[in-house]
Amino acid sequence: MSRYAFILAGGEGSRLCLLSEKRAKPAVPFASKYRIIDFALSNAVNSGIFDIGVVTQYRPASLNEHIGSGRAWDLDRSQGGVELLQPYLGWKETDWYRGTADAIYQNLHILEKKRLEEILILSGDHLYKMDYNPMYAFHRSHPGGVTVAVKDVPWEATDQFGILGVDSRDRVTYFEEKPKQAKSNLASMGIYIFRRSLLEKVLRDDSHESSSHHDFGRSILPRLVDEGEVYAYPYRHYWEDIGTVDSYYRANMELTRSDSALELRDPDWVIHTVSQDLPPLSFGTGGRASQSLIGSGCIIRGTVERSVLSPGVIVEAGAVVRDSILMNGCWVGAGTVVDHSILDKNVFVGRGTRLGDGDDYSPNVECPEHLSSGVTIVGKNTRLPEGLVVGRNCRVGADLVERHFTAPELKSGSVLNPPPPRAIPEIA
Amino acid sequence: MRDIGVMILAGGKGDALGLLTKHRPASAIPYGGKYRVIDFALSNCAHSEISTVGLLTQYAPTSLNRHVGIGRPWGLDRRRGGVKLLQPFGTRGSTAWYRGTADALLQNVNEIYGTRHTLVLSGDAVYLMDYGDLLRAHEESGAELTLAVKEVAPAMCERYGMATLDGERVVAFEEKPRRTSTRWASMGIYIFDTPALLKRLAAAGGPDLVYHVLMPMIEQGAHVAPFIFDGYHEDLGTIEAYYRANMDLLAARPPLNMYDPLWPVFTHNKERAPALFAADAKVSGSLISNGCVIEGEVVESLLFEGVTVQRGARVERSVVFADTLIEAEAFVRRSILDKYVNVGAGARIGGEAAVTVAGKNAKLPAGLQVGEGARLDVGVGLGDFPSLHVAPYAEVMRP
Repeated sequence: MSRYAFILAGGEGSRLCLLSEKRAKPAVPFASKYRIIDFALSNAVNSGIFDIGVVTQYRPASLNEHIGSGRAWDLDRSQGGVELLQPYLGWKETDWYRGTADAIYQNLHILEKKRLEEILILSGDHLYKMDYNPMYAFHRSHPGGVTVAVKDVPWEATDQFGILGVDSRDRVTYFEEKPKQAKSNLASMGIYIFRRSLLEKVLRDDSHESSSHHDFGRSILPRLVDEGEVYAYPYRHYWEDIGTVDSYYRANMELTRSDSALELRDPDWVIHTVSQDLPPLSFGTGGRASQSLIGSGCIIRGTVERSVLSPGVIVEAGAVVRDSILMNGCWVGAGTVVDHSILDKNVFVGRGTRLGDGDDYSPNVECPEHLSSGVTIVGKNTRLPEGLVVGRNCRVGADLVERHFTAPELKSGSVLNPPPPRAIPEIA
Repeated sequence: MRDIGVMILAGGKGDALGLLTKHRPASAIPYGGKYRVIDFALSNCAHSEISTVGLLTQYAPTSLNRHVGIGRPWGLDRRRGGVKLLQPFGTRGSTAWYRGTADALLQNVNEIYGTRHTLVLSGDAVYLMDYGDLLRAHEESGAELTLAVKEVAPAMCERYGMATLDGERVVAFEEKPRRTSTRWASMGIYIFDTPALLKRLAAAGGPDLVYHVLMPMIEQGAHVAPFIFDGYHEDLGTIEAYYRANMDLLAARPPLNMYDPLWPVFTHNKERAPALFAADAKVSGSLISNGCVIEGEVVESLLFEGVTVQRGARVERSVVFADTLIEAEAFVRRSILDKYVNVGAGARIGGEAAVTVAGKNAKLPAGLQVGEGARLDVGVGLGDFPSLHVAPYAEVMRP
């Protein structure tokens, strides 16, 4: 039977700080060579679903470039394949998507010429490896119009999820979005299979309600739970919603362990991505690496410990990279120390610089809620001058160059914002 | 470059490569940690803006066919031109293997009709070269044939066709002479005016491009011009040459730069996870590819994709092809291990001098001791070893 999946990939991910400043959260690089959305896309094609719509809204450029024609996932097809669904004007009352439900509602027309009875809805920001076929089987063997995948989460985290309760026949009895006082620790994973006719009806009804948030978790699910339509499909394996800088950092570090819960080397469940054609990673005579995940094309002449390096990173002799995440094309000069830091793409670390220095763990002055565990973060393309010392929990913006660093030291918790964009001269 | 057809001779059996070419042609041998030899000629074509390439195959072509496919990694998946795999074919009344290099070209002349120039390349060498320079030199000299040559040490002449130059002309040519007075070796790279090539092929007295086309042309005084190439160029004709050419890549400044962002070498790879280094991993002076898991020690070696080196194992001065497993406490030195080899725990493979080779799928039992220069056949299993000791230079063959 033909199947179709929508992947919701429009989220801003504001708690990821600089990492999602210039790209949508699903496009944030992860585990050296992947982007977060690779997991949902690979799960879909590995489950045999080759007809996919990716719904985008916030900063879609890197996502568009990454997915392209979908070739990396075998989604460049004459029948089906992948389609990028951005908001647009000109069709009836279309506008920016008002919420996740509205995003699907505005794209329902693309289902018109498809023979489908069920629609799968996924989120593009989750890390997990899941075969959707057992969930389809569950959906077909239960009477409800909606199946939602659910998982136990730690009680202290229940306020970040949609929490639900089920009866003995797996029917969902209540649903609360991000409750302060949860009655259960069973959370929605944001993965839904809808009976097509029900989805079309409920989205149409919802679109006319001015008081609705037009959101699956806040508007659609609670209503359908009340109607008794929702059943819960239990899932027990690794699943992570990368929400914050800390969870992003931890999920990366988890992958440097040989026994990591998210296995990237399973030949039966390959995570596909767009790989650059780069030479093997090269170790100079003084190069060392331990407990690290390192991409191709890297050149390691210094020491790398407990770190994740994306393809094309160069670590010069005498440099030490520890407990850090370095994205594509970073250059770490001789004699530098990079500790507990996240460097976005193409960051240049001048010789003798120390990043993540000292024992002062003062939280970040501007965003203490995101940066307090000691991780220093540097935005894309920034060039750090030689000999600079940067403390912990610092946020150093994107596109800075040497002359923007006026002091030799950035104390823990400090912020250096990028220069305001140059005004575009008016054309006379 | 328009008006140029490229014919790559990729059917060679590479006899001197022994076990490495038992199931693949020399042009499909893995090289440099993630490539196959043919990637170099194809990538040179891509960078030289050549879009029509014929690949002449004959010997064990499966891995080459699968690797090249429709030529996408090299931008050769085109509606006009592109890459074509040219295997020997049967017609009504005849089935004809290629009897030699000239014969292979002759049987495929349809592919080059209508082009102004034909570039004939060997698919068995690694080098980075802009064929545009060669074409310009050819057009400027007005020669009928331009032959790329490189300088070699006198002792090496036995491996090459040696050209004697007189100014801008090649005036004599000796194929693999015992000794010679010239230092210019043919690189197996020829650029012909296509009409002249067609005429010469039709009139050739035999099937070989060197003996029956090139040498008669020179003897008859045709204008054959040399093109002197001073970059790195290695034929991978023998096991020792193959091994050395891989080790060359481990120099602090390798003579062949695969890291030039303006001249990347393209290849076709499976999707694999990044390399993982465990807490006790030690690696130095090595090239490591995606999918590798390193728990032990790797010194001055090339590890292709998906190689696992378990805890306490040590790999030294070796070339290890894709998906080979080196179990705990094993010690591998100066060896070439083909794909899917399994080195049992505690085995000791290789010695100080001659290179040891294990063929594809060889399963080496735990505790096995293999001396230098030994050959372990493709697919040998645990039962094929009469004892746990293989003497230096011995061969263990599958029955």
